[in-house]
Amino acid sequence: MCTGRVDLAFMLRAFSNGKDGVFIGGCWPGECHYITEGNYLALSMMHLCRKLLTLIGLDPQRLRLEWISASEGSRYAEVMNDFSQTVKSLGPLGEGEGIDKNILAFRMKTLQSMIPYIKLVEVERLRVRLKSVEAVEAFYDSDEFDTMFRELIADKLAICQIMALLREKPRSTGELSQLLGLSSSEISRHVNIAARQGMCRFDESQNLIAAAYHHDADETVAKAEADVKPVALGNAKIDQIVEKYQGKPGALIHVLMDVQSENQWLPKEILSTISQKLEVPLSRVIQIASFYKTFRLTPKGRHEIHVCNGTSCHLRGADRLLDSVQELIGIRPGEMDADSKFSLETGSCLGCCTLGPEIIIDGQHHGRISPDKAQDLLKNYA
Amino acid sequence: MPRINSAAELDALRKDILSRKDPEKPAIAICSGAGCHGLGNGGLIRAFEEEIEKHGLAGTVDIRATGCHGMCEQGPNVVIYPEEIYYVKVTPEDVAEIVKQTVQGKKVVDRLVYADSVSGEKAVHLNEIPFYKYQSRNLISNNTRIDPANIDDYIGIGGYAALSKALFEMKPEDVLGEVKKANLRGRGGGGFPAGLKWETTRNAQEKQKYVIVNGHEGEPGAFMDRAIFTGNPHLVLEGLIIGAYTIGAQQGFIYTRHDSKLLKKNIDRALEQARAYGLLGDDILGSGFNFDVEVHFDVGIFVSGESSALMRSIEGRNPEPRPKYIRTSVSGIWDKPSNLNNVETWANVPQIIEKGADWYAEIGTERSKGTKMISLSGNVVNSGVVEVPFGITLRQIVYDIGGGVPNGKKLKAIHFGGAMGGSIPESLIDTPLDFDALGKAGAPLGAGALMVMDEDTNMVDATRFFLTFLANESCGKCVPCREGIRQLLTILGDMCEGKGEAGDIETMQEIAEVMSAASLCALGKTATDPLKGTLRYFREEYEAAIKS
Repeated sequence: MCTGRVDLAFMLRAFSNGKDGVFIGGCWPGECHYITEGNYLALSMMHLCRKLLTLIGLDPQRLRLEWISASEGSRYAEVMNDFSQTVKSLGPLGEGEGIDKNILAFRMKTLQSMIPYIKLVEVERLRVRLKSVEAVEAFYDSDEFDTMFRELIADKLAICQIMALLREKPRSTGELSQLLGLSSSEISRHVNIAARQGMCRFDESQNLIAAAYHHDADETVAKAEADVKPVALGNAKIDQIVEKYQGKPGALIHVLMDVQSENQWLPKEILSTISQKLEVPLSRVIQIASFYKTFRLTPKGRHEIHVCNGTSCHLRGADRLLDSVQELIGIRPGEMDADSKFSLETGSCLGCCTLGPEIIIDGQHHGRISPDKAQDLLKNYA
Repeated sequence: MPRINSAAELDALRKDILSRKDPEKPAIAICSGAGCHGLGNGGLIRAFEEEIEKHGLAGTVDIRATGCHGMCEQGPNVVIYPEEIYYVKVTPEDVAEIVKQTVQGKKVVDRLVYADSVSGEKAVHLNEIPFYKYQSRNLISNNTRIDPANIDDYIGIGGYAALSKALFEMKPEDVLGEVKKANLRGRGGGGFPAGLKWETTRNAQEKQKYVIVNGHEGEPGAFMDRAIFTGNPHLVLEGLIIGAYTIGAQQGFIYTRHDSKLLKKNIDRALEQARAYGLLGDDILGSGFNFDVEVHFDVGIFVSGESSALMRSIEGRNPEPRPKYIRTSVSGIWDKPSNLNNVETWANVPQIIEKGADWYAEIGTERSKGTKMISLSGNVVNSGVVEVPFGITLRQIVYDIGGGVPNGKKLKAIHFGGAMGGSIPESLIDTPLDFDALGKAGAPLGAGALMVMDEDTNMVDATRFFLTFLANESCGKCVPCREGIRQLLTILGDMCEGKGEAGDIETMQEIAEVMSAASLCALGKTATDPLKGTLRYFREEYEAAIKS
């Protein structure tokens, strides 16, 4: 088999089965009989896999790729002896690195679930088109690679792990930080991103971060609607709203408005429930929900801040007000802060032009707010 | 509520309502318009209720939370009837004194009356305040006199008399004739004669026809429609029913803002009460005419105020405008003839029917008749909702009514028509308020949002601001609008940072021309109007932004 066929999934499967080391041997670069030159691909995959191993806390030396042709019997023996020495000195997988067995299994499982995604990233962004060992190695050593790896893979893995833990039960930042070996500021950053994508939210009552959806405990229930349950709004409530408008043409917008006023935002699962109940294709529902600005596809903080930037407010200094609000709460328009306290929006005119510059918090208007007044105002919201 | 089954029964009800009303009974009208609401009038209403209760005056004094009075800048405003004493900037702390001194003692609380910011001159009664004195408040003046939550108040001041007259004394073609003769022009922006539009829909082949109230008012700086719609919903409804009778529509739609709870509540309640009285539904007032109304909400996007986009939205689809080879008055909602007018246009209808086209046509200029509501805001002393006859000069609006520019600053420009409007320099301030005169000067009236800009305003930045707004609001269906605005913004962004390059102005002009010629709807066609206008009058500011 060509080394190019040694998939990332194979390497990780070996490790997840408890193997202490993985060795890949193949033809020398430039000696491919079939012009496919799969060994360059193998080289890239090996480097990538090593970075992934490091990411989950394993020693990268447990994976090795060597060029050994059919005529190099003695070289084969030499390399294998050396590799077995290395693996022996590293100790059993996980134990040698001092990682708890369960934690390693958890990390490995999350990483494996990401393989299709990682392969996509590899094809789209990381593939080295140059056919030279030096070029490949230089690329995997470069800052460029490090940045991409961090942004596209490492952060994603962290979020995957966080979400996997949150789907078990709601947890605090500290707990997550301990379980994942990441600093709490790192955790906050990841949770913030996940929250913005609607995957989790801050549960006020328990002071914990909770996944937006829990998989139903009974996984044997095959029905799609029973599979994931919206936390805040049950299907019965949606039924009730749909019932109110049943049969009316154009009810979709009304239903979405009512559901949103109950649930604050519109999670994907609720949209698909609405699609089924109204017998409107999901694509139409999403088209409408994403087109109109009023509909929110991401969760909101406990306090919604709206800074008006209509013409009149603009003329009266809304820009300076917005700057000061951004500085005070540390987020930009369209974002929510890490502990789900505030979300910030700007929007055009609400017709209180005579009060400009104006800020609206939780529907309450506050007129003629100068940048320094904003600070006093925001203090009232915990 | 008993159903009213004839014109005579309506008159009897009106007499009964008036007989129960004592014109000398004290009443406290607390403004509940958007501006005063934002200033915290909720606490004020509660304070008045408690105070009246405390003095055992419940039943002898009326309290009403009314629609917008107009002078939002001085809010929260309170009017004490029957004397019509006007108090400004009232806080809950002032309530006890007002009740004791004014309501019971019939004395004026001097510190709460309006005082001119420069001369210090005081004005006690509503009609003496300069802001109100120079207006002609045909539509909005009833806002202080009625409780929008009570249909009897509206009937008491003569409401639904015009409908009764139209249904029983006039044929649909007579009503149409009156509206055409009055030359009522659409107040939403286009200024298209409403009578002609009605006629098109009336004459269209299809049997099923619709009438629509456009209460979207998405234009930043426009807030007069919601002032009248929240404060006097029956006025708009009456106009709509008359229009439906004329056109032959049996179904109407109200398309309005979703973000004002009070507006929603008042409209819903008005419809309910009108249905209970038999003013909506089957066999209206026993005339055999059937008509009912459904309410729809804009869901926060500007382009859905455009007529064809609005109709798509009512159908529950994306508000994407379509080319208007066939007008919506011929093929609108579900491809049926649909007549759309804005709130203020409908609100003008009852008075035309009641007082006649001749009376109406005496107000205004030769080609623009009646009064116009203006939202006056920006760098002006007294901002608020203003209603003036056509023909009044902009100077009168800005200085006599608005009180001029605050903080001793100089007036630089007057901007009309929101993000797709135009700015004219201070030198043209004696232009009369008139659809055609303003259009010619380069500041088309639009819906009537008048923005006062002082000397500190940078016109290049203002243009960029308007285009940023439109970039967010463009529906993205047609390329000239979507991409044109983007490119203009790139250039304007550079200019605002002082990085403009030679040739930029010409490039922008070329893009603007293409957009006007090739965009599908009015949003794209007129998106560059602020740019063209400022290039016409303030070109030197653009030139200064180009690095030499």
